[in-house]
Amino acid sequence: MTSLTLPLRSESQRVRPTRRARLLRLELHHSTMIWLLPLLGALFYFDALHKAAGYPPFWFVRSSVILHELVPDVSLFAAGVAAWAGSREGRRQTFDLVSIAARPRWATALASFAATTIWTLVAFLGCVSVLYGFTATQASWGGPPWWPVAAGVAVLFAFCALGFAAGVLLPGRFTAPLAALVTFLVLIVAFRVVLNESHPTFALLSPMNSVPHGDAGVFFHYFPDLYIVQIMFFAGIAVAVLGGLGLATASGSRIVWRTAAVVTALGLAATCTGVGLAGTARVEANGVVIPAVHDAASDRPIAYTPVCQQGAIPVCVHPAFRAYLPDLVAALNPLIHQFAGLPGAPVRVEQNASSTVPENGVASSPTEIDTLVGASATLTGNPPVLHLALTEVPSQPEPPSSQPPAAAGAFVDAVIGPAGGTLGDPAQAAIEAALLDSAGSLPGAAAKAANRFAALAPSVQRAWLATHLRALRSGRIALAQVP
Amino acid sequence: MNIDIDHLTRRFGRTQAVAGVDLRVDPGVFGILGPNGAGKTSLLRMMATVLQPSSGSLQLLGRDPASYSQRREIRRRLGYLPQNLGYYPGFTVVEFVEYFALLKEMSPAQIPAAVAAAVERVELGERAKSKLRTLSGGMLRRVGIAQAIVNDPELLLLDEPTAGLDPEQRVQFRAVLREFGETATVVVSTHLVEDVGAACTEVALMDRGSIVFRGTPDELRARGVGHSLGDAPLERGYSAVLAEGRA
Repeated sequence: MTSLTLPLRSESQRVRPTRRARLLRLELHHSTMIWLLPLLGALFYFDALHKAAGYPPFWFVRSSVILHELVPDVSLFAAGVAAWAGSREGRRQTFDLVSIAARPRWATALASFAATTIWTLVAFLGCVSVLYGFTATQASWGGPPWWPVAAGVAVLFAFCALGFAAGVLLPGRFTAPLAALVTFLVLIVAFRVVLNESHPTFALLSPMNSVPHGDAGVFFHYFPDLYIVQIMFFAGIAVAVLGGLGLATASGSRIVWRTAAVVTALGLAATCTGVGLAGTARVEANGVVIPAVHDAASDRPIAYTPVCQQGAIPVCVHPAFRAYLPDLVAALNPLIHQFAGLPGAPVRVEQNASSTVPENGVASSPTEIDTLVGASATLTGNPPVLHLALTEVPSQPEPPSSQPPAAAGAFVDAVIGPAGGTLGDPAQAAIEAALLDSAGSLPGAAAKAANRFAALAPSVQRAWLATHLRALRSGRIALAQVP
Repeated sequence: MNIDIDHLTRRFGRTQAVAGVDLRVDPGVFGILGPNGAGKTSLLRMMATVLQPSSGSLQLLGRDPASYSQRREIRRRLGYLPQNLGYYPGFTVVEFVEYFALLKEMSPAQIPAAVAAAVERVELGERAKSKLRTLSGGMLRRVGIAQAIVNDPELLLLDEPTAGLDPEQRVQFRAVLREFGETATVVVSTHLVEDVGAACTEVALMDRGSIVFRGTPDELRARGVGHSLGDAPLERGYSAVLAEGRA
């Protein structure tokens, strides 16, 4: 017979971490989540990573897929697997054995929960590592934003806790798929439809609803305000649910009950605080501001040294856009040759922050985020400087190659169009079309004028522009006067 | 006295599964016999602190399981094999036994040796690394016994422990029971009167929630003299006691 001595209380206390570690090791080794890791990897590759690859290589824009794509994908599986793990005792009929163990059932349950959550977070952080590693090979400026990652961790923690609690309290074979379905409905329906329509600021709590501003992390700091509130909200839910689980399984233990009650109260307090703070959110030019957690230091623009390509008219861009500079210069060069040195023409092209603000800061679908597909420009100062904003319009991701032609159009708009206005004059439109080789888009008379001007030699065009540019800008040239 | 029960009852709705049982058990192997629905499993589950009694008092290992701290102490010293043993198919034999050793709050330093000893004791040493899903019903029963004895319990409660075991394993298991009975209190609930005859020092016979006989296996055999129902003396004693009680 084996000779065993039951541990004395003091010894038991001393070795408790080791016992916890052994239990966790067993649970980690047998977690169902391990089997889903390849599936999550494939899902990440074809969904989040594929989408991110279509976005410009700016850290903050790329990181948007973490909360928009990756977290919802992983949440469904995390909630389902957590429910499966939580329902194990019920499904496997080990409830009697586990419930009569000396170890409190709450502590045993938390080990199983921890294993599922750890694997979920390993999968999530692995995907984030790949995404950021991939971005690091392309981004020319800045660094990875970590607040979206922290918010993602909090969201997954919450859905693991909710799924696990559902499994413990309602054990059965269908609990896991139901938990995944409910997670989907919460993410898609509750947040996106119900709250979005009735309480847009509360809908900001959804990880999928906040729209990143493309200039965040480039020209100005991205605001962590919303992420902080999301973390409070979701981590609070997770803690409250786990505390509630402790209350449900205390089995007469006052220590367990009191601890669980305190944990539940803390979780509820964090959740309620998060909801309350979300209600105070306001959308400002550079992102969502929540006054209670807002750091005024993040309002200051980020200092940077522009990257320039010298020429007849130097073209300067933000260092984050360094990779686009050659294409941009190539697109602008024909125009630069035409306009350089002309009276009223720019002496320099500088990139500015775009002023686009996502409407209400809330997207109406997960695919609507700001991407670089257009540009606008203004000509100011004396000598004039052309301020080029690479504009961002809500759209499906488009390759950055669409940006330079848009920049050329913006250049011509700014140089020949009215100051601060849009091209409305037929002669301006005809000259622009001629310079951009797009006469086909104009009505009859303007198209003819555009074709006439386009047929001229560049030196003749330049000579005409030298004498007529000011008149053209002020709208005093008639179509018939276009050579 | 390791088990001290006074007027213990347990009701499930209108059904009274255990009806005022009085029982005191010292170290040794104690058998509980009875037909289906007699209340054996309910009584055992109350002793295992799975179920709370509807009324009456229960003292286990000199402690009151109604108190959480004392219940925890009891559970540290308890081994229990339920009638329907659930298991985790992906666990190996060793992992499953280790898992319950950890839940019983054994000292981590003792666990590897205790697990190995328990697995050897049920003759599963060669299958120690096998997944539970690959084992036969009899082997799974032995795994259940291994998890019950891994903490060298002072109170060992076994509900139908030999169900599914082949005759040779049953004989070996009875030897294990006798060995445990030298120092601990072993309560075995069973249908199989030969288990009681071979391993138990004392036996109680339950019917309709009450204990209708308590004595040694020899005394039960003696009650069967002149009774015709049953192939073996113990079976005749069992049938005679039940018939008397029902009459």
